[in-house]
Amino acid sequence: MRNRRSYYIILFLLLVFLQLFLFNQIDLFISDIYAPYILVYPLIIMILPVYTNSLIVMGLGFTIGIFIDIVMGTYGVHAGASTFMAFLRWNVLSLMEDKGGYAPKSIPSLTDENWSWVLLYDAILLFLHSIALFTLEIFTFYFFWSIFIKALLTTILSVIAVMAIQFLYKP
Amino acid sequence: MAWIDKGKENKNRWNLMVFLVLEVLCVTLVVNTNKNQKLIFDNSISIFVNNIQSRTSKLQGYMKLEGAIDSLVEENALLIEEINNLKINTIVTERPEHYCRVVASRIIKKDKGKIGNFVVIDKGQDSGIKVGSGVLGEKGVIGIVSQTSKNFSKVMTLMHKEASISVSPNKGKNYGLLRWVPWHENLFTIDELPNYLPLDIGDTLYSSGYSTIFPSDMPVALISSLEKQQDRDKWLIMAKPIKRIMENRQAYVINYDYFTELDSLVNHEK
Repeated sequence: MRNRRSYYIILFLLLVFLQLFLFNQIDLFISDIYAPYILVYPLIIMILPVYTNSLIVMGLGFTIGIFIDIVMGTYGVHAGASTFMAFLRWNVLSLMEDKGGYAPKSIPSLTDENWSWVLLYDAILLFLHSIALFTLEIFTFYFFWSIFIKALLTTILSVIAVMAIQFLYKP
Repeated sequence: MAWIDKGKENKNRWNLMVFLVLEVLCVTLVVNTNKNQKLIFDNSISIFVNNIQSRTSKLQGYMKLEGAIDSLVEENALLIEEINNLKINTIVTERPEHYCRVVASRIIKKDKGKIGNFVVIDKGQDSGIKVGSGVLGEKGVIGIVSQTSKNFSKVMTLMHKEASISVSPNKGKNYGLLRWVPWHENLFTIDELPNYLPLDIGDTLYSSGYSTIFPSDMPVALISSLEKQQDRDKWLIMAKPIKRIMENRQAYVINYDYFTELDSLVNHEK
């Protein structure tokens, strides 16, 4: 096992870099209204060890969100969404727990779980994240179905990107 | 690593609070720095505030209603007084200041006595109410004051074995006597009306004004059933009050000071 701390620091910087300079630059002309995003920065929250203190999870979620926000000029939108997702991470984890439970230092990623479990876990959290993100961005429940479809498209694309990053750069 | 909890228990009681604080912070940031979201937020807030304001103003309206009712009742009393003063003016040639004084009051207690029904009103001797004064309800006659104290009066309603009132179906040409059918709620019989009169179910019976208790031409009851008696030349009439007597909430006490004075003089001579 490599040094975890340096792994997470490098991953943090890598995700911010990828998000801002690669995935934000991709224009997807699927539709004007439903144009989805590709979100990779939530991976830093999703991949934290299972038994991480949830206050730290939320703090990290807020930090990376506000980081993205400051660069993109959408103050509070990404931070709110990733804090929301970080808050619900433990609920999703305990919902998807096997009978044996998680090993003390296990990580919810491809190193410790099989790929279908990771796919479902990433998809659920990314979907929650994008619902919160687009709700904050559009700021009304009036367009609920638009938000829903946009979140669904975003989740599909983001899961592919996130799985690829996990596969290429393992802890 | 230090920040990985050793135990399985990951619930922290600060979780929810920290989450809420962070979310409120984010939403504040969103609203204050983004133009569109600020517009939506301000609009929603103003809709919410307007909604609350309209609700509270409705509530305040209801609370003021009590006062409004009181002032309307007072006004009604003045109008009844005025009308009756005008009526008397046609009978008596010389007109004193006040023939008739009307006191508005509220019915505070309803009572079934041994031989009839009573109500208690919240005005008494201090307001100038005397035993024997007539009492009108919101629609029609209620009864006669039978007992007074400093602040309250007891009213014998028409639904009493000893109560009777002379009524007229055609405002003063023919008269009959209205009596209660004992222990039948809101049911009266009328005697002495000849059966050649063209009466119909639903006709109104008015007070005669012969007594000095009630003003003339006040509606008393509506005819509810009508029957020709075979061996007599009178109608057999059943009547009901216009508004159920015990359901009145306001009562107007009518004092004919002028006539009371006259009556006492006449009685004294006897």
